[in-house]
Amino acid sequence: MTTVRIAHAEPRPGKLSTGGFDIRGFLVVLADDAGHRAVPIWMTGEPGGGDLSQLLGSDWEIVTAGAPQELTARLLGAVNATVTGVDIDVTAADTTELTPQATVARIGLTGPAGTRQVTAALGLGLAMAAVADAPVRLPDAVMDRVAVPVTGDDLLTPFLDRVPPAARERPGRARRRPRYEPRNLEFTDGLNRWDLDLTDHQDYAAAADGPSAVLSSAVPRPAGSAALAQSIFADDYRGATVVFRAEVRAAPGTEQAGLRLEILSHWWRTARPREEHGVTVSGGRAWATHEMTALIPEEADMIRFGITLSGPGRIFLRYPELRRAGPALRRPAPAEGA
Amino acid sequence: MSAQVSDGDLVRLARDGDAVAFRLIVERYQPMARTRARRLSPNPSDVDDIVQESFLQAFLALDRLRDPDRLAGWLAGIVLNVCRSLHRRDQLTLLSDWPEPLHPASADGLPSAENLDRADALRAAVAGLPAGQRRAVTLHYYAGLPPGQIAEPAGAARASLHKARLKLRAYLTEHRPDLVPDPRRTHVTTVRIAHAERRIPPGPVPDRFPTHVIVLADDAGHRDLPIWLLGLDSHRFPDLFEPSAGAGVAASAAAVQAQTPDELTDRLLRAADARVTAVDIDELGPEVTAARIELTSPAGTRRVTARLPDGLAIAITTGVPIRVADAVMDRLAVPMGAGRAGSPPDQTARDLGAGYRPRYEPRNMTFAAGLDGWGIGGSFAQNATESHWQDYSCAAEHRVAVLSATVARPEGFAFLAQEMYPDDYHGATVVFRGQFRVADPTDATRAGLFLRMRNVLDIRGPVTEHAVLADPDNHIVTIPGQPGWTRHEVTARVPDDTYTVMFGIFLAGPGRIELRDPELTRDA
Repeated sequence: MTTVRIAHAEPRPGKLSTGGFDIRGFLVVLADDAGHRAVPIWMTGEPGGGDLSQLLGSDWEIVTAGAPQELTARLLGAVNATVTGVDIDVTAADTTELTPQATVARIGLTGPAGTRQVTAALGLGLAMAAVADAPVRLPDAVMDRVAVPVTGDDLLTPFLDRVPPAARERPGRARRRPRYEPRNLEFTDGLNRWDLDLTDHQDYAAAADGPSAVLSSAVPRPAGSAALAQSIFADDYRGATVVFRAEVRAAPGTEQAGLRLEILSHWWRTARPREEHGVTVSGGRAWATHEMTALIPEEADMIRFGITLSGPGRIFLRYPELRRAGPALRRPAPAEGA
Repeated sequence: MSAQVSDGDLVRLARDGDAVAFRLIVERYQPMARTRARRLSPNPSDVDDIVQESFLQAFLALDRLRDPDRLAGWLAGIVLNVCRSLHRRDQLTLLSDWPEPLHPASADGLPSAENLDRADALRAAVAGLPAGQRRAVTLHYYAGLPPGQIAEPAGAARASLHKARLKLRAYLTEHRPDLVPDPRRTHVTTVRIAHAERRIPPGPVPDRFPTHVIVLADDAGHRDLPIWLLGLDSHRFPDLFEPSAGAGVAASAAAVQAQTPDELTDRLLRAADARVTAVDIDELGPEVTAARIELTSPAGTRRVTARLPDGLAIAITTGVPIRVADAVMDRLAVPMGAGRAGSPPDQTARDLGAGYRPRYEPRNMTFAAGLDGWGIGGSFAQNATESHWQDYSCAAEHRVAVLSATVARPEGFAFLAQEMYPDDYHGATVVFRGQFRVADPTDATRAGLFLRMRNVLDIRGPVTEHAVLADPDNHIVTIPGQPGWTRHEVTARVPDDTYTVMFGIFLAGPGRIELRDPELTRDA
């Protein structure tokens, strides 16, 4: 067995350049210092994987105080039992990469009842080891397959490519906090305030072109779908009917493209968390004006409007407009003092 | 991201008679005391006595601790002195009377009235001991002799001291129960966890208002004990009522992957031949929300103190009974089902209905729209129960906002503030100024204005006044109580990673603070 230490448990994408924060998983790096090797593991942070965020301090150092496993260790201590080590084992013989799904942790216990092993998910096992300051061990044969040689002290940067694209902050595409009103509708500030949302791979691209924006497939057979949309807080539109209107053109050969208006509701009123309105645009036609109307309910949280594309092709957007068409609205108190 | 109560707060609560607080101190520092005793004492068999003696002395001398936040060092000093005392050979003096209570040899200053009171109670208890035990206590606790010098063999002396301690505890339990923090003598009500639900809290909605309540039902007494879950704990409980695929002892791959931390805890304990047998709630005081997890193993029964949500989670996972001290139930329980009836108070309904969130600029700075955009919060609302949620109130009229205490001894502190997205202010310096008046203050009143730069990860445990004052993200100006309006301002830079900026007034203690003509501007 090779004893390793938990060198990193980094939340990703973590702190965002916009000041926000998001966790879509953890990049865990186990270090074999003596062997100058390391084992990177991408963990999604799902319950069985163990929510490692509870082990992290404000500067992303591993802090065990306050973690749920600290209580576990104290309870075990009260009955004179201690965690002696956590052995990581793979459930598939030919594994070349450690993943939570293909891995189990065997938590070693010693106490008045003797020596025992309890099987746990990898994340919980690692968390338990960190809290109990118990060694983490991997079979030598597994280490030989999954460990990567490392030089120097940086055990994080070499493994950042293990973070899946969906858990990375895309440079230049940082999502900014919504405002209360639409902005940059003429694309004079490029795609500022417009977000490119991809369901899967980065097979789509977006750009501003004069007073227009274009959403296009970046590969011949793109996977999933994409949207180029702007989100605003719905607060000032609640109770009103809004109209999303724009000129749209789809390039010849475009399979599925359209105009989209979504209303997202507050999480604590989840009966109908998302309401979607859309029109499909056929490829090969000239610019055409489309519009759609929606009543913004009182529980609305955000309004999202823009264009969508699924499959190969290209869709253009210009002169988008989001306006009220319904009854008079509650308006926020006027800004003062700034 | 620990949610622990600070040492200072535990000391203050223990001084006020909060038994749970002192137990938390003992559990927190017992490992340190044992380690230190083991290192300082040449005789390993003395370690238990040293630790026990150290905490006894700490309990009796708690009022002498000048700086409650330096508890750790103070306790370490007591352990050192107890060790020295145990091994001292040149002070074999049998004291004929006890002019002051047991105390650490290094402590100075005159004993407080409370200590003298405790000393009197202890002296009366010792006087009632059988002669042999009284002699052992006298020689050991007051003359500082180690057990080996009290009787031969040393084990006989230890046995004598042990019996004496039991008798002293029994005496004090009968005559001065306030000096005996023992949960086993507490009368309890066994409750069941009825449900967890989203609930609108009684208003006005405090800052970061709780959204979930877990209801403990006393069926026989037809009453409920609602416990509010704060912060991240609110996301934890609804799922706990649905056994995961990892519940029980099954060990299939899918079950292992689906296992929750609490289920793993249960399995680890069972592997160690132990069981969780009950969860006790001895007290639900402000900032001391703890549960006692009772464990049974072949070695006997143990109790471990845990955060209240952790204790409840263990109880749900293991299905053991929850026992609540009758005193807690009598104080905090409500008629069964009462919490779900009725509509929320106006401000609560308005704030929740509008899905309140910050704007990008200050708003309603003249209070023309009442307190729209302003919110009340503070440590008084950060409790698991509603018992202190009305200790402060706020109002606005005639272009003045008022934050006031509604009781003579309000719990914790409160603030009335506006929160703003700072995107358009990042990197700038901002000034919050206005006119203020502090009315009806007492010596215990602290009031003023503040600016807070709030980080996106600003999720903390129980907030205390001490923690707020020590937080570098807070910029605070205290205003003395005086008649008439005075102008004040506070300045702070808005770092680029600031998630929201808060500005407003605060009040700790009785009285009220008033605000008019507030401004938030960029510093030229």
